[in-house]
Amino acid sequence: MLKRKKRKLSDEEIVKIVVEEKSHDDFGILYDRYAEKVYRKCISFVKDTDLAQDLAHDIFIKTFVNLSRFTHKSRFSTWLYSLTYNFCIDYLRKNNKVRYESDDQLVNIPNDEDDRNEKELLSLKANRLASVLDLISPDDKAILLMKYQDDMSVKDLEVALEVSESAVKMRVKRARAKAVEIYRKTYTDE
Amino acid sequence: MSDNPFKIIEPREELPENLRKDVMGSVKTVVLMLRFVQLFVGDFSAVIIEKLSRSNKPSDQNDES
Repeated sequence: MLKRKKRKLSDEEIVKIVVEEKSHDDFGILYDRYAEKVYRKCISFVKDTDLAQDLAHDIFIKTFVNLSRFTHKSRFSTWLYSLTYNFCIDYLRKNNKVRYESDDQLVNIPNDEDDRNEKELLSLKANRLASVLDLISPDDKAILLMKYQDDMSVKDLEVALEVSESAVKMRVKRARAKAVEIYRKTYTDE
Repeated sequence: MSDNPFKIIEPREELPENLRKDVMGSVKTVVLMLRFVQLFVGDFSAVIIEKLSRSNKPSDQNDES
């Protein structure tokens, strides 16, 4: 198939070709579509462009090696972003670059409180939100970015996190509550 | 611009141009390594099985026995 024609194929169709033919040229099409997004996600976790470049490199190698494990249950982008977040979280953990408070106390959050948390979170000034996201656990940060930056649905999150619908909803609730709690602690003058 | 602060905080740094070359070079190496491994693990074992197989001998050899 002509390269120009291949560029019009969906991500999932390109994945099939790459897996079947072990074709690194076709993998380049996926790279061109997503490299910038992946690189920027890495920056949002490590705050260092050189390190983000190294992480993005390793994420694409891992993506290529694991491409046959992509089950087509979600969009390719959902799978790739999930791999990206997990890779960054693992990197931060392994290098002890994260210190955050335990959220064990946040177990039951009533729905009306959760609604208020969501409104408060979405009304934060961008610079304050960025600071708050750096103070919560990378897992909580990742789930909030998946939901509000990548616009992933609950179904997408189920596949990305490999947990049930109820577990997804609980994790999102807890992440929202944690972010709001940290915000209130940090900006007590508000 | 969107009012959603999560969209606003998305980094805007440009993708380094050399990254593509680095990634594609590494992917090429991965492909070579996979083929090398296949040669000695996948394909090589298939060759051994074929050579040692009793049930897949050519029919003229079977006739001789």
